[in-house]
Order: sequence, then C-alpha cells, then structure tokens
Amino acid sequence: MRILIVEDDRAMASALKRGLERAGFTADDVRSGEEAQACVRHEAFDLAVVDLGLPGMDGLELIRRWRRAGDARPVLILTARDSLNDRVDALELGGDDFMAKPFELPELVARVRALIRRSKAVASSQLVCGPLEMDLGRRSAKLNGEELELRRREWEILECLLLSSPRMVTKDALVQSLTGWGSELTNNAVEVYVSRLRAKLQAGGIEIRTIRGIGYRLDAPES
Amino acid sequence: MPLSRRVYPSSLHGRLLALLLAALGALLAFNLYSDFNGAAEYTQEAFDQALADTAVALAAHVRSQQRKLYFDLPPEAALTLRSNQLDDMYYLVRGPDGTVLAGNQDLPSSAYVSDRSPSFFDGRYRGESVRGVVYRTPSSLGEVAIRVAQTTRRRDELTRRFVRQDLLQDLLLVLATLGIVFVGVRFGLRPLVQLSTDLEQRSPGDLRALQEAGVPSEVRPLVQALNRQLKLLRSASEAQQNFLANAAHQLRTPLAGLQTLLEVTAQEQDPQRLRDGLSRLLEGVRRTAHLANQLLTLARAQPPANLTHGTQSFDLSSVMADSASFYFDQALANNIDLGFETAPAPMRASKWLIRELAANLIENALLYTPPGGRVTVRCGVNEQRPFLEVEDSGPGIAHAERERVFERFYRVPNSAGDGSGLGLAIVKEIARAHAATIALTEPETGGTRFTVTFQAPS
Repeated sequence: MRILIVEDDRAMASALKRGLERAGFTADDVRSGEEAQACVRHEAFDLAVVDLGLPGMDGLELIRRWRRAGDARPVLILTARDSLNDRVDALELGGDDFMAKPFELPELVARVRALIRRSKAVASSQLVCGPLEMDLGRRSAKLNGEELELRRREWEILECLLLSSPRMVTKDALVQSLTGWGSELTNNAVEVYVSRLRAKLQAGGIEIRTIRGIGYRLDAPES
Repeated sequence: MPLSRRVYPSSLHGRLLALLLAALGALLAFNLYSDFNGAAEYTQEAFDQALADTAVALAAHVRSQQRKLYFDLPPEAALTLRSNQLDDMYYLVRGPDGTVLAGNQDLPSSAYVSDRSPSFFDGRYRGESVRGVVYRTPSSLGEVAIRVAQTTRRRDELTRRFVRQDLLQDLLLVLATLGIVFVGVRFGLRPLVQLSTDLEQRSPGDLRALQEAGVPSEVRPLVQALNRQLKLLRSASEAQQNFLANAAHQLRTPLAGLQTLLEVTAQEQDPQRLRDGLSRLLEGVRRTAHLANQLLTLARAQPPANLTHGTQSFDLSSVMADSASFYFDQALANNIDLGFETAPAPMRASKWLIRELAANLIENALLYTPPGGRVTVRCGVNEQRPFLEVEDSGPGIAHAERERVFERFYRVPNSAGDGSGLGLAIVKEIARAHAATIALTEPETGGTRFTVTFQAPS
C-alpha cells in the first residue's frame, strides 16, 4: 500500500510519513500541489493525504483536478478545524474523508485503513477488517479463517458497519438501507440483529458499540 | 451617498449661510416691493395735494363782470403757483359752455372724467408724462372747470432716489447679518472644533473620557455618546489585554513544564522510564495544543471575527449525530455512559461555531463526570426555539460558582480534570454571537445541566 502525503509543513509531513510507515504502509511526501501532480504522473499511489492549506495550488484545487482527470484514488483531507465551515463542502469536492488538525495519529491510521478497505472492496469485492473477511461477490464471510454463518439481514448490517468503520452509522441510516428489501424494519429489530452479530463476532475481538440514541460503530481490534 | 440625496454644502457655515442668504433675499425683495409701493403712494398723495391746491388757487382768479367770465392771472403770479422748480406746469380754464378762458388749449383731458372734484389723471403732454387734476368750481354764471397738469420729473426722481436708498440700506443689512452669522457660527462651533482638536491630539491608545464641563448643552449629547463609546472601548481593550496576558501565562506554564520534562527525559537511560517520560510529554503537548485551539476558537467566536464565518441553515440533531462518534471515544475511555436524545431542530447559525459550542459542553461534562457516570445530550425544539442540552451526573456546580464558571480561565477550586478554563467561556461567547441564552440548572438526580436555547429560525 503506497500513500502520498501532500503537506507543506515539514514536521507534520515527516511525522505522518513515519506514523504511516510504522503502520505498515509505504509513504512518500511532497510539499506542494504542483509536486504532487508531477508525482502521480509517474508513480502509482493507493491513497493521498492532502493538506488543504498548501502554498500555490491549494488542496481543494488539487483534488478537483484529480477528479476532473478521472482519478478516483481515495483522498483523506487534512485541515485546520475552523477553515472548513462544513465538512460536506470538502467531501462534495471529491475528498473521501477529512480530519481536523490537531489529530491523533492512530485515528488517522484507522481512517486511512478504512478508506483503503472501501476502495479495495469496490475494486475486488473483498472487505477485510482484522480477522474478518467478507467476500461481497460470493456473499461469504470468514472469521479467523473459519466460515461465518450470517443471515441476510445480519450480512447487510455488518457490511454497512464495516464499510463505515471507524465512523459510526446512525440507526436511521441502517433502517433506511435495509428497508429497501421490501419489508418494514423497526429500530427494535435492528437491535436484535446487532446483538446476534455481536455474539457471532465475539471470537474475532470485533466490537459493535452502541452510541445511545444515535447508532452503532464497528471497532476492529488494534492491529 | 445615494445619488438621489440632495447635495447640501458640507460645512455648517455653508449650510447656514446658504439658508440665510435665500431667506434674506426673499425678505429683501418683499421689503423693497412693499416699500416702493408705500413710498409711491405717499409721494403721489403729497404731490396731488399740491396740484389740487394750485387748481384751487387758480380758481380764485376767475372773475365775473357784466355777465361774462374772465380769468385774470399775471404770468409772474402763475410762476409762484408752481409746487417746485423742476417741473413745468400747464393749466386750462374753461367756462360753463366749454369756452376757453385761459391757458394751454391743447392740454390733454383725462379719458375718464369723474364727477368728483378734484379728480386726478395721468397723461402725456409735449412728449412728457404729466399728472393732472380737474377742479370744478361754481360761479355766478355756471360751473368753471380748471385743469392743471404738471410734469412728473420731480416725482420720478424722488422715487428713484428712494429706491436707491432703500436698496442700499437693505444690502447693508444683509451683509451685516451674514457677517454676524458667519462670526456667530464660527464662535458657536468653537466647542466642536475644540473637541475634534482634542481628539486629534490624543495618542491612539488614549481612551479617557472627554471633558463634559463647559460644553454647550447642544454638544453635550455628542460628548456623552462619545464617552459611552470610549468607555465600552476601554473595557473591551482592558478585557483584551487581560485575556492576552492570561493567554500568554496559560501557554507559558505548560511550555515551561514541557521543557523541564523534556530535559529530564532526554537524560533518561532506562528504556522503561524513557517511554514513561515520552508518554507524559505527549500528554503535555496534547493539552497545550488543546489550549491553543481553545484560545483560537474564543478569538474567532468574538465579534467581529464571528461575522466572517457566515451562517447557514442546518439541523442541529444531524450535527450532533455527525460528531457523536468523536465524543464516544472519550466517553469509552472514561467509562462514562454517553447517550443522545435528539429530535430534529432546524436552525440558522455558524455551523462550525455551533459544533464548537456543543464540543465544549460535552467535553466538559465528560471531563468532570466520574467513571461510571452518565452524560446525556439532548436537542430539539422548545416553543419554536431550537435548544441543545447537556446533562451530566457529575458533582454539580455550587450556586456561588454558577456565574463565575463562564469567566475565562476560571476553574472551580479543587475540581477534577485539567481543563483549560476556557470551555464555558467559549460556550458563552458563541451563544452571545448567536443571541442564544444559556441556563445552568441541576437535574433532580444531581449533577449539572446546561441548556442553550437559540433563536427561532426566521
């Protein structure tokens, strides 16, 4: 997995590079949007971490150009927390996720993993999260290498949670994505499915946490 | 300035003088007109009277003799009957049957012959305008008509002289008035000029109140308004300086601690103690970064900086759902049961600032609630106004502290956690920027409940 870091602050860039390398990625860092453009022309990267406040061509412009050129590589945006009034702005402009500075390195690594997981799932229909593997094409799942029995609703909920992790999924969003199957689904029913999933995933150390009144979040074991 | 607005002279002098000049000009014209009319009337009357007297005097020279009328006037006597030296006088005396007894036969008669006697008329004779009178007097042989006409040279000259004099006087009066007004305005405006000189000569940082004594009552409201503004500026500037000093102090303390910690850790030989030192350093840096962020948020929340953020319409409940995950980690780490009870709450505000407001309330609650406690975040609409409520099962805030907790850098004595003392100040500042109210109450089960009620979206 190769990651391009576009960040003009030298200290921040080197910390990001070392943190990502420690987590098992290969990382390269450049100081400006222009350098980043030159870089992606010659090398293949799986993901880019882009600071919005770049000198010269700013981060949003860089992402816009990539998207216009048909480049769908996932982008994690870094920004000062008051410079973006609405994260939707950045996401609509083509970023896949965003983090406000200052941030915790482990959180950034988790987000990078999730982004790569999602982009790989689109490309290969394989969702991998720690000991859990889901083959979206064949609808089969494995936990710790063993076949995992999942009912249709359980599968849908797990896929939804896994694709969003480490972000949480609201109960409403879950219900909405499931009622597309033609039958009504109550919040209570979702709770029942989630508790069944919890029992089935216990062996892998994967936790589905409840955020009371909001929804659920799937947390993978630290790797 | 909008184009439609009329353009007035920009100085008070100019305005007053322009106004006065227009008013005086109109008055002068009216005065001149009425004076002229009055004077013409008086001179007319006086001259006419003299003319009538002449006619009466001439009548005395009509005599009857042997049933015949004679007019007997020596030329030198006729000269003495003239009312002045300047004008020529003509006369014509006719008997009852219209026969000319004496005088200039071609003397014009008036077009309108009135029955009154004497009756006056205007006409022209020998190329000059004349004023005449017809005087009828009975005699033993019937009525005798005496016609006397006189050139109007003297009258015209008198009128001209009068107008000239009047005009001159009026002009002098206008000039004097303008002069007095000019000097008066300058004198009257002196307090204002003095005021602006005082203000100009001040140093930029001088925010002392202006002298009110000796200021005319018309200018006093201005001085008082300026003083009120200066007082506000003074307190704002003092608050700013306090804040800066405080902020510098607050940042310096952890930095000094970090420096010492770094020096000690750098000399550590034991790997375990080195790791411990580094993790303490990390914690310290994290806290300092948090403090710097809080300071920045506070600065941004204050007017006029907050105006630059712009407002947008959004649902408070979805903002809470978006950021729930972030607080959840903190709650998980502290073993606090964090729950949300959100209902749709559409509002219009700066989204970033509202997120900061919620973050500070929730982080505060998580910080001061002991492990095993509960924190509940609610939002919704109450009486058409969106609200955000954060309730915790922590130790609560004593009544005496409830006002002070919103002060910058104030921390409740002996309280747990290591907050910056800025969280609630930020909440207060953001609430103020959005005209929202904050209520601090105690739930029945103990702890603290903050309720921020926003304005209804229009």
